[in-house]
Amino acid sequence: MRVQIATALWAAASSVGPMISRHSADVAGNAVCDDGLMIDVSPMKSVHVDPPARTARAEGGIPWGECDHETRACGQATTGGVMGSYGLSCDKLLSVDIVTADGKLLTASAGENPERF
Amino acid sequence: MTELLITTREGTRAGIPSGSLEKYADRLRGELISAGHHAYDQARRVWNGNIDRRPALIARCLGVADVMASVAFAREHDLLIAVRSGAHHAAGYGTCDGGLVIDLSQMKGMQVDPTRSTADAQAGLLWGEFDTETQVFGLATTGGVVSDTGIAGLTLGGGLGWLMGKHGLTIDNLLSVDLVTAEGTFLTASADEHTDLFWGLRGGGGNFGVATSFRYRLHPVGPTVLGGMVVHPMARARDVLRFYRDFSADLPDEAEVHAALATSPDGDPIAALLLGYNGPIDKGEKVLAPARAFGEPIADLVQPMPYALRNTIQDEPNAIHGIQRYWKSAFTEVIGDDLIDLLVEAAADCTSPLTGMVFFRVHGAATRVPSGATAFGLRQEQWDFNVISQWTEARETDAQIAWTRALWSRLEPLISGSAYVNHLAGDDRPEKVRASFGANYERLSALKRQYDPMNVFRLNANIVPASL
Repeated sequence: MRVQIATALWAAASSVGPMISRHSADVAGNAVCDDGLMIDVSPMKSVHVDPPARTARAEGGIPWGECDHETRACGQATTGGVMGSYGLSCDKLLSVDIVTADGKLLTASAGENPERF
Repeated sequence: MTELLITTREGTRAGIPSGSLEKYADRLRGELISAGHHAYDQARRVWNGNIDRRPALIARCLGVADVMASVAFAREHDLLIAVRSGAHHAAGYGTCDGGLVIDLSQMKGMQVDPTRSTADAQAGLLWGEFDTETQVFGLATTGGVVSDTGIAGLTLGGGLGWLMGKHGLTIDNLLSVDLVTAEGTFLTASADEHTDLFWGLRGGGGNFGVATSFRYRLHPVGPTVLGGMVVHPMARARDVLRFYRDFSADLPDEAEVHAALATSPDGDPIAALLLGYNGPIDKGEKVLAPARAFGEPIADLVQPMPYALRNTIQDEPNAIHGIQRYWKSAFTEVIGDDLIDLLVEAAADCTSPLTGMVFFRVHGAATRVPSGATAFGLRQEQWDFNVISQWTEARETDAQIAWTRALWSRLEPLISGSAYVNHLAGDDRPEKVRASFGANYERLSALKRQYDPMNVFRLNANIVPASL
């Protein structure tokens, strides 16, 4: 069974960041557990690019390569996996949608819930 | 070099070199499927099992980039294009013979912003999926009457649904559309940008491009609402329809009342009233009381229920993929005794228990938007009337279609010469298609010339580009 939860990221076109338990990119294996519930957001792969605003919004399940595919089609680029001259992904992040421990959806950005951001 | 044989936009045959095909496949994030692929037979099927077409290529797009690449590829080779999202149009516009199917059914990204009461939804979502995401926050927008209808086709054609009296059509809640145009360009149309296109996309069907995502305004709805069916035996159908005509003609915005002649799951012919109320349950009980008190129903299934569940009460058998279908429809501003008599008579010799004749009342907020404000031109209070013939065996096809056509030719003089764009049949005359856009047709035709002069997007309720 796959459980889908609305987790998505709002990010600058130079930054869309996969997170939590999706691809097993964490060598410590923190995305899986024994006998517990693994919340698998890997099917959530949509990307929404807004070329005039130079922003992109990406769901948590998308690998960087696929995200680049979308932003490149719209003539934008992003920092993902490689730092290059654009800084870290988290420097480009505009906002994050998260489901909190008490099951609520909230958006964290410089303007909303800035501490969490 | 081997070639793939394809059908062009104008219906001729041509070859595409395999090198060109490979380059296109490499540009896609999603799969490119052709005959021989293990998924081909499943991927080419649509909701209407009577549609059996064999596209040359099916591009299972995963994002806007894939759609842009597909439109560019089709333009390069002058390929016939079908655009598929929910694949729910009875005429089978989501597929084609020999051309390219741009398949958006895998694009199901959705984001609800509960603080602003908006939702961004990709074109591959079905209404049931959409409702699941919005109802978590107690929100909804007008969206269809069968839960596995795709949001894209339903929205572009206007969007009649369970909330239309209170919140208008789906397009009346549309804030913006992301679109890949016939030239392969990506743009966003809204009240602020590409406003002419935004006007045309609200009711103009799939004529102007491939819509990839929609932003909707949401409203607090439910999660518990009043809804359900009141069932009468077919023997009382004449009285039930006369009652329905009078009762549904004067409804508060919060109420929705539809009527159907159909067959119960037990095989009994029935006349049913489908009732809904979008407001406080106790108030709804009062408003809908006359429809439940009328006559001697065999069953009264009206009760408080989850909003998302009410959107499924017509799913059986209307949501089942693969059933064979032939569907005729028209608007009507009157339900005369002669029309009722004709339907009751036709129901008696209907041989398929899956077939239904259904009235949907269009009223309230949906009728208060000026007819020129969006491309949806027929804003008067009226009923959307449908004969939905459905059967399972291919050998029944000729007889079922003949029954439907014979009935339709008898009742056509009693109803209007226009229809809800999403319910137009594939064999409806061009005059009826034009009439269904009302006084907006000429403006739409000019817009079509501007955005799609070659009629690249032609498998739809087609608007012919105005001649220069």
